[in-house]
Amino acid sequence: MDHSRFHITSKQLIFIIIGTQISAGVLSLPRLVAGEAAQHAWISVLVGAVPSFLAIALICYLYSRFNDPDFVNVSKRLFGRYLGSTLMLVFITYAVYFESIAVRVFAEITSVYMLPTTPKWAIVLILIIAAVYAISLGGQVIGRINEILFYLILFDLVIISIPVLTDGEILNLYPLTEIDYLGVLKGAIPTSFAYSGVEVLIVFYALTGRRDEVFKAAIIGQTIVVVVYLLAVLAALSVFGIDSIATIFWPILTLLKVPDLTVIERLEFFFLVLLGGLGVRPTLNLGLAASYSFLRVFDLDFKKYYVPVVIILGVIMFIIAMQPENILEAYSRAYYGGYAFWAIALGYPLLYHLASLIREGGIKNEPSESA
Amino acid sequence: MLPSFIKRILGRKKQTAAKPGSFPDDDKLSPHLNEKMIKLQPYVDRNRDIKARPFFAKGDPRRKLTLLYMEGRVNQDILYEQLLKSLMLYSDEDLIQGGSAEHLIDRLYQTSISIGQVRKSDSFSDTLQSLFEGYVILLIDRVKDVLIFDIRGGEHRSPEEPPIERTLRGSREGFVEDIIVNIALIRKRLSDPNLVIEKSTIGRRTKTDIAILYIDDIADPELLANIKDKIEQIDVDGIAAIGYIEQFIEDNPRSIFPQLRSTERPDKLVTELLEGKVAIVANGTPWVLIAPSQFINFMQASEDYYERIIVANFSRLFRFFAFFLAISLPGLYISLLSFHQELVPFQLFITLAQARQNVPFPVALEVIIQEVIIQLVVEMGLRLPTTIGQTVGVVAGIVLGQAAISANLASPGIIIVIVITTICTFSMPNYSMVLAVRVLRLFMILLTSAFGLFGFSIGWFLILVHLASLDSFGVPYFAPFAPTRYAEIKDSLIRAPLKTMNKRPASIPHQDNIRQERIK
Repeated sequence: MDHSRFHITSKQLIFIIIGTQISAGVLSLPRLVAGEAAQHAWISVLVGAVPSFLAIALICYLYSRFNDPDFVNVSKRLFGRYLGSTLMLVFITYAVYFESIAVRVFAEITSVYMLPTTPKWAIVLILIIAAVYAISLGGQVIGRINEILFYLILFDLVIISIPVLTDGEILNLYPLTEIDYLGVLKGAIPTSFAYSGVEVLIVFYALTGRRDEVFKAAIIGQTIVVVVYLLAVLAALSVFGIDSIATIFWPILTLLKVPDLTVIERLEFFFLVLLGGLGVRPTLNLGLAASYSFLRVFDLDFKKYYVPVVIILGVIMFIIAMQPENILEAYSRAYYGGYAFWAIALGYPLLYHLASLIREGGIKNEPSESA
Repeated sequence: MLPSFIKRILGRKKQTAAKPGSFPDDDKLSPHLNEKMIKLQPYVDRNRDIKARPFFAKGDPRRKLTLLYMEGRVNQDILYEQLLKSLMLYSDEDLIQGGSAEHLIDRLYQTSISIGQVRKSDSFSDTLQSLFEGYVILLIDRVKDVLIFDIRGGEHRSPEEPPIERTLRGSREGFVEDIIVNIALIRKRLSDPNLVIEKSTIGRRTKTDIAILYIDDIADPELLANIKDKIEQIDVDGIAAIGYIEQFIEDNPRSIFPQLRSTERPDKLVTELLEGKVAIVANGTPWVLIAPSQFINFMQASEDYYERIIVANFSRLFRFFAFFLAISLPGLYISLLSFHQELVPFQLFITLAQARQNVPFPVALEVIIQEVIIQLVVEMGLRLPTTIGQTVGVVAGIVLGQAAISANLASPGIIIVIVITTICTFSMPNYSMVLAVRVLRLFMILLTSAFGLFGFSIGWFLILVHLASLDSFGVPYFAPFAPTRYAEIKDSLIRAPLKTMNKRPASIPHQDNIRQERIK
């Protein structure tokens, strides 16, 4: 694996930002938000995006102050070799742990909807094999595959809009006034967890070819995610209304069962066909970020060690993914992942900014260590 | 005993490829005709198709000459009329008699030989190699140099309609086995002086002529250097067909997808050259390689450009659909019938279930059995002569299918699925892609047998990842889909009107970007 096989374009960064965020989370999002914010759930979706936008701004501003905006270089420069490496290892642990939990959650959905009799470990294993294969091919391929999978989401949106057209009820979104501000804020918390994934920018910033476009690309990507979530929540709300939505575990999947169409009959078919790509994608991006960072932390040769590291990563992921006893435990761990996301996406950039303030001025335009 | 055995094992050195043609150390030719013949004798004697024809120039016994040639490789009319006859009868007596022997060769060359391609050589190895490549050698007594003529001809097929890549409205001429004819077919359609034809040989023993063709002011120099470099690195004793070169130079030899497109249509090749691509022609194969090639090239047929836009796009979209079905249909059938019956419309499910209620196998096994049978029928159809192949195909297909249904070994549904799949497979315009699709289908069948629609989804994900990971000479293989190149969408799933394709495809590196001025 050549180091040059890791460069991505700024256009691909848009799709990576989108791909890491939109996954299994969107399926249950309408229930979680509407439970707190009722018909104003859509406002929660907007408010919940604030931490992500803030994280993008903080990360981009932090890196813009360095000549070699690489996660590893910056960490070592600001915190020294040992503390810097420790911080990076914490990040890698976070990425590996929560991508494994994401695989498990996705395997649970697959199990319930498609393969009730197939053992969980088999579903988890095939998902991880697919992810390991893709990650082992390098960042360029991950960029490309994110691009093509993005169009599947557009297709998904079209499918989701069909029940809205046939069974949607605009009254379900009313009244627009009488906003329960506390409820909206409460709803914004689970929504902000659904936006987890934007932290991959910490690693992908350095891989992007044109650094001047990173901020723009990340903002565009994040905006598209907000729009997709908004449409998904509005679609589910308009069809089910706030009362029944609270009783449906995955409202988006149930949404597809609603319309009664001739010939096609079951809309889920199209959604399920695309499901594999949707579920593996965050694992790809986080997995790449983790393995790339790992090799850089220990300064290992990419040609020699990249593929073995990815395979070991796959084994670790499998072990972690098999830890939760059942679907509820998997979801509760994913919920902790949300808080960890806040700590990483907001905490890391703030910590780094603080460190650079303390070391004041001596950082900018220093010659790079490894570039 | 044992020590000698160990010695033998340890002493076994890594075998190096033997250098062919163990020539004598002395590469120089003697001026005397007899000595030249004696030196050549060991090679000439054991090859009965090498003919030696001694004669005197203008009947003068002092001027002894000998023509050496390979029977069947030279154009005999030219040999007799332009070489033998003119040297024996029409050469100028004064010129031959006068002056020193050293200048005789130039005088003959200038006055008596009416053949275009002639060169002089004083090297024994060059002379011998040229003789076996089909050149005619003229040995002259008392002159150490020899003359080498290129009047290679012999028997070759004349250009006929290409058997695989047929079109309704395109040219009826296809490439043949002869490299010279093939290059002429290309030149005939592309008379740009910037079309460069570089020749060389491949194969230490076969010495197969190959030519690299490109348009000098369109093809990217870096791409060209990359291709040439890879071809130069080929060090093999022989190649039998252009498929050897393909496998030596492609970027991912272990991939299932063909990464170099080959064509048997000169008109198709010209359009590819105009996009900045490089063509590789090899003697002995009626197919020409095009580098670099992308996935969409294997989906494009000449007809797409010769027909009007709506009908052309209609058939191209169907081709992509056929590609999808050829890989997926049996897998989808397994998924829906074994795992997700609830997704099949009720009436349809009842019909399918009733049809297979007496079949003793599970759906997956039923599909695999039928798939194996059809793969064997296709393989047999390729090997048998056309007339017998058709008959046996009908017997195998119709009779066997009907009998299998009657014997309750297969349901009518699966026969329909397999037949549709086979039809879709062979609607691909490129045979290399047909072969890839046949294998991918089995991969999908296995995945869906285990995981249903989820396996189907993962299977396509893996195929897409693999496609996105491929490069052909630095060009992303799956562009313009991944990486997406919006400018090139106009010639991918569908084709835009020719009037709007003003620029060359951006994925293929090239120099002159403008294909045509904007037409209003």
